[in-house]
Amino acid sequence: MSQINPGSSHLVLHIWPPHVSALSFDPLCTAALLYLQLSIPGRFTVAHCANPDASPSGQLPYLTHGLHSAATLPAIIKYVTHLGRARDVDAALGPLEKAQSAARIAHVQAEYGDLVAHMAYALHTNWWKTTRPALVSMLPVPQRYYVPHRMRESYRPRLEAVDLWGTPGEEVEEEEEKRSTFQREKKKRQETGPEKFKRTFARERVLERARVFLDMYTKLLGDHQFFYPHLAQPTTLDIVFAAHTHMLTSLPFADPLFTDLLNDSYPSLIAHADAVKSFAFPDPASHPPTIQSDLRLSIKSLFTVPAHPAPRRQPSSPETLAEERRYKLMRWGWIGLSALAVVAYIRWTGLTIQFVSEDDEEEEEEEEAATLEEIEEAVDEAAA
Amino acid sequence: MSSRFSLALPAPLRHFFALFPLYEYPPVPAPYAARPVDAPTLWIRAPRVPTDDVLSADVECLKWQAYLALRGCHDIALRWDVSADGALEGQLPNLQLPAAATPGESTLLPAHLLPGWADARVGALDLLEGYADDAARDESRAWVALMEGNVHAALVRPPVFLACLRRARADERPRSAHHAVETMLSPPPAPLTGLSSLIPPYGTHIDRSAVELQYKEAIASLSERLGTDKWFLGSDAPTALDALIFAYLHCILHCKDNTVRIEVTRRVNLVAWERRVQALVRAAFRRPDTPSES
Repeated sequence: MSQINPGSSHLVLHIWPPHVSALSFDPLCTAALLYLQLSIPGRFTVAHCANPDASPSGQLPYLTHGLHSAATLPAIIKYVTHLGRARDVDAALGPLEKAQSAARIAHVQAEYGDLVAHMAYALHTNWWKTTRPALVSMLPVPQRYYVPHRMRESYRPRLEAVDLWGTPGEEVEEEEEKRSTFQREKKKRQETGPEKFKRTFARERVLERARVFLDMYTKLLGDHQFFYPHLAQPTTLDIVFAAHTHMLTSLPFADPLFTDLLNDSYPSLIAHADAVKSFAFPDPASHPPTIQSDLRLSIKSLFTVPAHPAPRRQPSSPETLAEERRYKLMRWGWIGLSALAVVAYIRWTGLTIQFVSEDDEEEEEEEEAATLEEIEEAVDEAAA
Repeated sequence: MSSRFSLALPAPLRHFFALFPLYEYPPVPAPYAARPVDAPTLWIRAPRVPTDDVLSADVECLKWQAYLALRGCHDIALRWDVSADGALEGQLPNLQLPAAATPGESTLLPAHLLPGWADARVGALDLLEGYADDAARDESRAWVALMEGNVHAALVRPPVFLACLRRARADERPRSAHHAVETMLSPPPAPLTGLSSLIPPYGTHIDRSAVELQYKEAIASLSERLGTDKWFLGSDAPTALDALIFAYLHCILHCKDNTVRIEVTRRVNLVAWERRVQALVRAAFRRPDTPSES
């Protein structure tokens, strides 16, 4: 997307485009951007990409650096940490703290990620009024009709497994929407008492779950600015947590279930997210150069080859190269020999191919009929 | 007076119906009756070597076995000839209680009611659930998420790359939605045919290298956290987290995939810990063919 000069190794991070005031549409993309900004500020470019199939793992974010690529957040973090002159964000943590941090990052990615996905993809009002229009505005023309639904369906198994997929009242609303698409008047169905109660109860259950999770991390944060106060700068855990909070607070959700919860009861977590963001982007000029996403119609993106992982290549030594050459010679020798044998056989047996035209066929049929009559006469004569 | 108003079947109809008589037979006594159990019986999936072992080959069943054993419940019988379709909620393990405990027939408990049963048998846990303090209890949730996400995804993932087309062998078929690998990866994986292509979505594109990288980091942090402690997170007594970690370590060490197994065998403290806990867990269960001790 940005390879002006393929010789220069240019580090490009491909993420979902931003929406309203969110840095990117996906929390892990935001986390990758914040991590790169803290680790290698000013040495990378951001490309907004709305086609996850361009990534080697099928998901955004991914990173390209010349001929290397790294996909998914842990791989990006590992790659960037091993670059020359990169600042290791977790350098000052002890080994025990690093282990705890790894577990907590997994917990945040799993639980907080599920809550954000529930908010953006599972809640009916949010999906139809916020998330889907946002996705449609980012995608080019043929994709914008079917890709948002596919993305929503891809979140469904995970959210169903953790019991966060849908609340009862909203499923009924979904069916109503589908049925009344082609009718001119959409009848607003009044919710009956028990349905309303079930819906409120389900919402309360989800809110309770979010409260338990957020209480845990508020307690861990305490009064400090970041999770590891003796470092005075954000670590990977801060970045991942802040990215998810940032998604919840900066996107304009139509049904502000968790946004209200955060604003009312957890001001310290919102302050934490703002602190991480301002640490990474101290002034508006510190944003990295950005390449906008391509909204033109692309036929190639409609037919992606099913991706399979690249086969593990063993490092080629001279012996293996010689052996490969020998096998190649034998393979082509065999094919050549068999072709030669077919040609020689045809020449030796004198096989010829005749093309019989239609007149000849009719004559043959008449001849056959004639011979049949002769046979019958001969039979009659013999019988008589 | 009732006979005046009663409706009688008209004669021609009665003659017609007599052509189709109704036969009634006495009830057939069923020859098979389930044998009553005399000890709590845990229904699990079969162990790897059924003649020799009592620990299940399935991670979920092993988790609950380890939990019951480490809570202090002893002398629990086992059976593994029940298929998962016959279990409550379609998921093993289930616990069958004998009739003596409850009046009437024996009851069957699903997996999520096992902690309550263990509480009734050996005494309830306090609010800290056996952990050293509040911070340790909160940290244990993070470790559970790490194990059930990153490590379980590496275990469930089939070793052959062509199998990511999801035509698995019969014994590896995902038994329920809870065990499919898509539910364990945190950003959900894209379909194999591509998210934006016109081809209808089919299969799952699982990035092997990403799953392996996360798995290696998880095992490294696990080993670092255990250090030389007796139980995880510095607890004095075994907790639910120890049961979960033991189940995963045991399944990893008997896994056929080399990269997955070598990662744990390299860490001596994890292997030694697993061996010690194994002896404790085995002691709590009774094989199905041994006679019960009086």
